[in-house]
Formats: sequence, C-alpha cells, structure tokens
Amino acid sequence: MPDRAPRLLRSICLRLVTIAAVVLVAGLACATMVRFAPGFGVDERELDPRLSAESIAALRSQNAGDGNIGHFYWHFLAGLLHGDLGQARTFSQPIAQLMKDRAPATAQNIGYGLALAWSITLAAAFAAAALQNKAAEVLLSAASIALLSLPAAVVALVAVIARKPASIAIALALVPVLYRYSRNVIAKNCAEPWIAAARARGVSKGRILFCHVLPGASPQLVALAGVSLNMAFGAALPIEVVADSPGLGQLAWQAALARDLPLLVTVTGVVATMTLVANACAATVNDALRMEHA
Amino acid sequence: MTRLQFISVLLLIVTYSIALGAKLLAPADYAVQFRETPNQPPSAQFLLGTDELGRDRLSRLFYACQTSLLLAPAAAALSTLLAAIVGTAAGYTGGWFEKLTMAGVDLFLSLPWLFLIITVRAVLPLNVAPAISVLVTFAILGCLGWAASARVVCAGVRNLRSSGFMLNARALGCRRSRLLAMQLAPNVKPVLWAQFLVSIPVFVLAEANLSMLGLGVAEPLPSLGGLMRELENFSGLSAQPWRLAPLAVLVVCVSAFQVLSRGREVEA
Amino acid sequence: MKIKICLLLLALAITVPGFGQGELRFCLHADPKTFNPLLVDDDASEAVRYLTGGVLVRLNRRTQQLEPELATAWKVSPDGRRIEFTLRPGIKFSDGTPFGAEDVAFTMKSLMDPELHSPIGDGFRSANGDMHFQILPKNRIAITFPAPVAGLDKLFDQVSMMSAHSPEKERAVLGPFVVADYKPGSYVELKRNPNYWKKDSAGRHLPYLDAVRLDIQQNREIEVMRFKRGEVQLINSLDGEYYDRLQPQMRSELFDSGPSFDSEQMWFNQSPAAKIPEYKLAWFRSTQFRQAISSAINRQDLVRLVFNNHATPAIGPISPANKFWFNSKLKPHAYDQSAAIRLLVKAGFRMQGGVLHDAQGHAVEFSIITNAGNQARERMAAVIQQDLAGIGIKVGVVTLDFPSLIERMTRTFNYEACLLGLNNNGLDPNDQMAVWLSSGDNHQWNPAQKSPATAWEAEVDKLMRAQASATSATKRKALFDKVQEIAWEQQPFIYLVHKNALSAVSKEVHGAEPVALSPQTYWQIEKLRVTIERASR
Repeated sequence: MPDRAPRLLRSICLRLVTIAAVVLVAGLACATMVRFAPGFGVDERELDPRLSAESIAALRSQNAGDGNIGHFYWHFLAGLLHGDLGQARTFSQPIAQLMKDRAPATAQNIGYGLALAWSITLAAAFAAAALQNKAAEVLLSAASIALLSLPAAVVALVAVIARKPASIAIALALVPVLYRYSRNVIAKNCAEPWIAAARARGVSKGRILFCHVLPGASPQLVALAGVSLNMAFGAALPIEVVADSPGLGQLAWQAALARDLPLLVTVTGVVATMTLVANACAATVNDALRMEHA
Repeated sequence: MTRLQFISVLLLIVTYSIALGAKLLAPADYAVQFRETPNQPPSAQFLLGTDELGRDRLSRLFYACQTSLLLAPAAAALSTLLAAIVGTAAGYTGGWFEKLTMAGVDLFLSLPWLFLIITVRAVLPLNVAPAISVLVTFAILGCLGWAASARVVCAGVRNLRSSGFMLNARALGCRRSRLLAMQLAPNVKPVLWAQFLVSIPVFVLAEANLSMLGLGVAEPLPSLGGLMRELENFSGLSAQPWRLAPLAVLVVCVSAFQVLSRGREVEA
Repeated sequence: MKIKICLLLLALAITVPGFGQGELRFCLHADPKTFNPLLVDDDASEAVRYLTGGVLVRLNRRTQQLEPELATAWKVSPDGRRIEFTLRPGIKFSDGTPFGAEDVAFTMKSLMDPELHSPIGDGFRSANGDMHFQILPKNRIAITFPAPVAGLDKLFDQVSMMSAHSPEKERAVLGPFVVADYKPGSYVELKRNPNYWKKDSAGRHLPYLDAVRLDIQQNREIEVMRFKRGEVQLINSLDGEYYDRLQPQMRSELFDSGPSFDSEQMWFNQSPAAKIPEYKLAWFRSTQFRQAISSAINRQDLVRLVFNNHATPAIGPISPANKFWFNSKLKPHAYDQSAAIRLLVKAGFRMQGGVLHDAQGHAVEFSIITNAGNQARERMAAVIQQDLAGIGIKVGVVTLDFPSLIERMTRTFNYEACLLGLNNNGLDPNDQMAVWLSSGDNHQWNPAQKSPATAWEAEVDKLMRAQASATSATKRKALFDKVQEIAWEQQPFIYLVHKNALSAVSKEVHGAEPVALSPQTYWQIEKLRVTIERASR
C-alpha cells in the first residue's frame, strides 16, 4: 500500500499537535487552580516572631508577585521559549536545575519498576498459559488479587521496611494490573480456532506461544505498555513520597505543599507530556501494526 | 457458583452486616477514651486492644467499616458510572468526537486536582457536621476518579463496535437504543465491574490522604483509611500485629469483590 | 614485602576499633533552603550553618552562658548600644583568606541590609538609623547601634562571620566543616575545614571528625529505622513514641533532656476581622471563658497519652528549660472541670441538659484547626475534644495543610480556635517581641492592632518595650516576669505542654552530651568522635 507512510505521518503530526495543545491548556489550568487555592502566597517564615513587620510585609509582597494568572503564564511561556523555566520560590533554585537533579531518580524508579513489572507479568502470564495447570493458575490469580487489593502506599511501606528501592514498590503496584490484562489477552488468543488447529497438528507448546499467540496478542500488549507508563507515573508519586525517594514525585508533592506556582506548572507540564507521548507512541505502534495486518 | 465465590459472598455479607450494625455490635462507642488503659494489647475487654488514647480498636474498626465500606464503593460506583457514560459515548461515536474526548481525558488526568479539593475545604464552613464532610469527600473522589476508567471503557466499546455481532445486529436493522442496551451493555459490563473494583481500595486510601488536607473524616469519626494511617509507624508493627486489622479487612473485602468479578469475566 | 606489611597494617586498621577520622551521619528533615548563613530561617539550613559557620561568641548549650570563639573578649557598653570585640589573631577562612575586623564589619553590614530581610538581622534592629564601626588597634572592633539592643551579646551566637575579600564569598567559612557536596533531595556532605582554628588540650587540630554527612530524610520513621541499623548515628529530636519503642533494645543510646524550649498551645481568634459570629467572638474575648477552657483541659493526660510521659505541662510562654527567664513563681494550671463550670456560670453561661449555653441561649460549640500530618497534634486535639465535652462544649477538629492554615491565621481570620506549636530557638524574650506586642504580626489571637484592644494588652506592650530598652538583666527579668504573670492570668494563648527534648546518640559516637537546646546532640560537634568499626546489629 503506497499511501501507508504518509497516513502514518499525518496521524503522528495530528497526535503531536494534540499533545502540545493539551499540555498548554493543562499548564494554564494548573496555574489557575494553584493561584486560587487557599494558602497561595503565604510563607511559613511569616510565623517567625524574630522577623520585623517590614520584613514580613516584604515577604508577603514578594510572594504575591505572580498574582495575575494570565500575566504569569504569558511570562512563563515566554521564558520557556528561551529555555528559561524561572526560579522555584521554595527551593531558591532555578527550576531547570531542580528538574535535572530530580529526573534521574524518577526515571530510574520508573524504568526499573516497569522492566521488573513486565518481566514478572509476562513470565507469569506465559507460564500460566503454557502450564495449563489449574493449581498454578489459581495460585497466580490469588497472588494478583491480593496485590491488587493492597493500596500503593502500603506496598511502598513494605518496600521501605524490606530496605528495597522505590522501583520494587512501583513494580509490585503494577504487576497485578498488568498480569490481569495480559493474562486475559493471552487467554483470549489461546482460544482462537487456529491455535486449536496448530495444537491438533502437534506443533510444540513453545512454538504455539511465541509464533502464534504472541503476534496475535501484541497490539493489545503494546497498548497496555503505553498505559503502564502512565500507571507507573501515577504510582511513583505516592511511592516516592512514602519511600523518601528524591524524584519528581517527591518534588511535585513539596511544590504542592508550598504552592510553588512556576515549579508546579513545570512539573504538571512534564508529567502531562510524558504520559501523552507514551499513549501516543502506543497508539501509533498499534496503528502501524493494524495497518500491517490489514 | 464456585466454592471460592460462595466464600466471598459470605465474607462480604458478614462485613457489611457488621458495618451496618456497628452501633449494635460495637462493644464501645468509637469516641470513648478509656484513658487509664491506652495502648493495650488484645484482651477480653478489648478484643483488638486499644489505641494511644485508649479507644477500643474493635469498635473503631466496626465504625470505620461503616464509613469506608459503604462510601468507598459508592464513590467507585459514581466514578464508574461517569466513566461508562463518557467512555461509551466516545467509543461508540468514534471519529473526532472520540479524539476530542480522549484529549479531554488526558487533560483531566494531568491536572493537580489536589488544589480543587483544598479550595472546596476553604468554601465549606469549618463547623460542618462530620457526616456531611465525609459525604462531600467521597462525592468529590467519585467525580474525579472517572478519567482513567473512561479511557479503558472507550477502548473496549471501540472494539465492540466493530465486532461481528454488533455488525450483524446493525445489519438486521436493530435500533440504536436497543443496540446499546441489549448488545453493547452486557459486553461492557465486565470492564466496568473490573474498573469499579480496582477503584475501591484507591478511594479508601484517597479518603485517608484527604483527611490530612482537612477534607476527610474528621476526628473522632474513624475510617479504614484513617485507621490505616497508623501503619506509617511501622517499626512497632511486629510487636503489635493487631494494628494490621484494618488493612486485613480492606484486603479481604476487596479480594472478595475481585473473586466475584473474575467469576463474571469467565461467564462473559 | 612492603606491600604485604601495608596490607597487614590496613587490615589491622580496619579490624581494630579506633577513634577519629570518621564520618558522622545524621538526617535533615528537608532540603536546606539556603546556604547563605545570614538568611537562615529553617531547621535544615540552621544545621548546616551551625556546622560550617564561625561565630564571635558561642552560647554554651548546656550552661546557657556565652563563651569566646572568634572573639577572645567582648564588652557591652552600659547603655546597651555599643559592643566591643577583641578578635582572635591568626585565624583563616577555609579558603585561606585571613580573618579580621573588616570581615566583622562586612558581615554586620550585609546582615543589616534592609533589603535582606534576615530574621537574625531584624533582631538587632531596635530603631531606625545606621550602625557605626570603629576598627581599633590590637585586633579590636566596636559596633555602635542607633538604640540600645537588649541581650546584644547573645545575638552574636547566630551571626556566622563572612569574608569581605574571599573570592569564594559565602562558601569561605570559619566553622569546623565546609560544604563539600550537595545533592538536592539526597544529602549534604560536609568535609573538615583544614584551616579550623580550634585545638584540643593535647594540641591536636579539631574537629576530630573528617566528615559529616547529612542525609535528607523527611520520613521520621525511616530515620528511626536507619538509626537502629546503624546507618545514622544521631537523632536530634525524637518522638516519645519512638523513644519508648527503642527503649528496650538501646536504652544507653537514648536521652531525655527534660522539657524543651518549644511549646504547644491553643488560642481563640479574637480579631475584629474574624469571620465568625459576634456572639462567639464575645466568648473568645471573655477572660473567664478562656480560663475555664484552660482548666477543663487535662494537661497531665496530654502528657501521658499523647507524649508517652515525655513532656511537661506548660505554665506559660517560657519553658522551665530556660534557666534565666522562666518565672518560677507561677503555679501550674490546675485541671478542675467543676471550677471551669463555676467560672463559666459566673461569666453568664449556663448548663442545659449537659450542653453549655451562653446568656443569649446559643449552644457553645467551636472548631479547632491544626496542621495536618502531625499525629501528636491530632491526638492532642482529640483529647481536648473529649475534655471539653465534659463541660458541655462540642468541639470539631479540622486538620489543614500548613499554607491553608497560615492563610486562615494571618489573612482571612476565618477560624475559631487554633492548636499549634511555637518553636523557640532563642532564649531571650526579645525573640518573642512580635508575639507579645499588640501591634505585632505574630500576636496571633488578635494581630497587628492599631492600638491595644484591652487594658492588659496595653500593659504587656508597656512592659515588653521597657524590658527591651532596659540594660540590666535583672531589671529585664523583673519586667518579663510580669508579662508572664499577665499571660498566666489572661491566657490569650492556652499553653498546654512543653515536649521533652528526646534524642538518640549511637554507641559509636563519643563525646556527645545531649541537651534541651538546639542543636541538641551535636552542639559541640568539633569534639565528637566516631569509632571506625561499625557495630553489627
């Protein structure tokens, strides 16, 4: 099909434009929410009795500085175009620096967490499919049910007690969800008539699994992979806070508690971009796969 | 019904009876502080011991079940309902409407809703009755939790729309309303059920986190999430394993729901 | 052969427990907000400043007396406006720049820059006008302030000297350590200052330690866990609950230094700008109502249930730990619910079916706000709730995140009662000026008044101003004793407890003498040693 490439390109472009639009609106909406939330522009230092009235007045006027939201956002975007994200109010550090310092920890947490979660999930799902053993199936299901019922923060606590890094907690939070979906997908594909035919012809179990079931299940698994990145981000916030891991999740939490407007808008923008790009990638790969099949 | 499902139903019946009958069953009021006997281990008088202020843990657990196990599923149902409406509309209509809705979902997911919640607290009077504040909390949670589920529902509906039986039904001239009700709904149900269950523990805990922002269940009213905040002091847990009771109740209940939902999946 | 001997020596060095050359580790609970010693206003930055900064005089945390550091002698003039320091000769900053009178003048000028808004600088600001410096022969410098500054010499305990000439600016320090590395969210690494001036009695250069590593750890529970594992060696302030939990295994490593300088208190909103009904404001403004509430609260139960007995019932704004300023003539507030009811009846309230009503027939109920995430405070609120139920008052408790709480306290005045703690870093009542002056921003129950709302507030204003300009310590003490008496009588703040200063020091650390005053465990950091061998637990 000669028009496949341009079609794919067009869909990618469209997705990029959507992402940009969503991120821009998200930034503005975030800024508005923070600006009008109670506690904006207050500073713990105001409670320091040693400060003179003049100093407290100065603190207040300094913090109320970015009061007009349209004005703030316009300047923020203009700064962004110049590659300058501005200064975080609470950390008295440039935001770009803060993000650079904190991103590796989160990338590591999420990266290892996802890798581990997917290894466990796929191993378990294939094992369940290959073994066709009722007991093993029940055991795996029971484990996933129990894990699914545990709140992420509790999982994080367990990881902390066991002196395991935050990535393990993220993996443990993801595995049951991933297992559940991938197990269903694989089971559904195993039930297809051509698999039964292959089995009847005496094709080996492993060959059936990897040459027939996996290709059929891959579009859905790829979509799940995209979603799993989002889930990992979602899980990273509470887990990083509980486990005291110095990543973006913890930074976001501190920024929220301190009502640090520019920092929060930046973090929101970054997280939104990451999740949207992950979704879009999964969707694009899916489109490509679907076209291949067509 | 398998044996496991039977046990699950039984467990749920027991917990919900306890939750509903907390007032009759609880040995003490949840707020009474037996100040002479704080931090007691389980005994004949206090079956689960007492907390730091000498309140009976068992009674507090019963009342906590009442708040959390009744309201968290309600919030989960609300958010699943919203997800079903948005997801079905987007997935069934398709085209640009679906794209726009999903962009909206992405937008919704990336916003820090925490601040909305803080603002709601500022609008509510400080003296609002605890029951109302709890209801508001769970209502907000229900209204905010739909987006991720909507995405899943939308994908499910999209797949169903192009599936054989739907095409058949449409070719046979089935009306749209009938198509939605008779063909689509039964097939979307397992997805919704799964989403509903996954969100229950999330809401139980979210409530606990919100109580830290002044919008959760206020002292002295207990909630499962609130009781579980004690787990933050984990270093004493091995010596006082009975403090894990709220977590155990939560896990058992949600697991029971899960077992029931799996059964449905198999049927579907 | 040589290599073998080296290896052998190395092996010996590793296995034999020895002193010194070690690294001390403990936790900060947040990132330091600044490394500029003059701008410090949070605990984490304060810790870094204490470990790296050199000061002219140092307050001995145990005796609460000043001791010479970079200044060998000092003298405050009788009028309290002028202080003269004799500087220690031959001192160098960490980068090798020599230290002298010019640096003192530079530091003070930077500190008093009105644009800086430094809490330490504001302490020196008794009146408008400029300081004058006089650099005198024999390494002496005199600083003259426009008006008398109360407790002038003690204020210098907080002023870390900066270099006027060093190219390294604020990174050139005079304290025992220098900041070597900082990874936001993770740790601050301090290395020994090679130019530190102090020596021990044997002539050995201090500090004994090679390095101090400050791990940034917000979660106290994790901090305690790491202490148990031997990963950190000090905990400066420990909760009573953790203290008791650690007690059975590590009794010898835990210290209860008695009441701390911090207080926990509640107060009613009396501000005319308060967004509460007029009749409630009238209750809150009634002295008898406040006294009744105070005597209906069982402070002993707070101490026992909330702080596991590691606290002391509070009497007034000054903790008994503050040896000089505490007014020992004040009696403890007695817990007596029937006396409370009698007081309320006298003030026109009446009991009706177990519910307290005011003269107009309004049922007495109010809400207490406090900050979220502080379990001790939430439990205190629950105890108070129960206690006040005993005199027919219904109390609601609302926990808010800190910014929302401050906004209600300082901007919208939309609250009825508030439960909060006050951290007292300084010993001197002057540090509480903004709390007691009716015009002060931290006069929380009714801040920033144009003129005193009540006669007793006017009296307190007068006494506070008088003590600030008095120069004799005994006269100041007499005046401030009077303030404490008025506070005891009027109870604008209902003081509840002083938490005890609990700390933990690992067996590996030698030379620590934990005290109540911050920094509790490492106030003599240069004399601490760490055994090299890690004890296995």
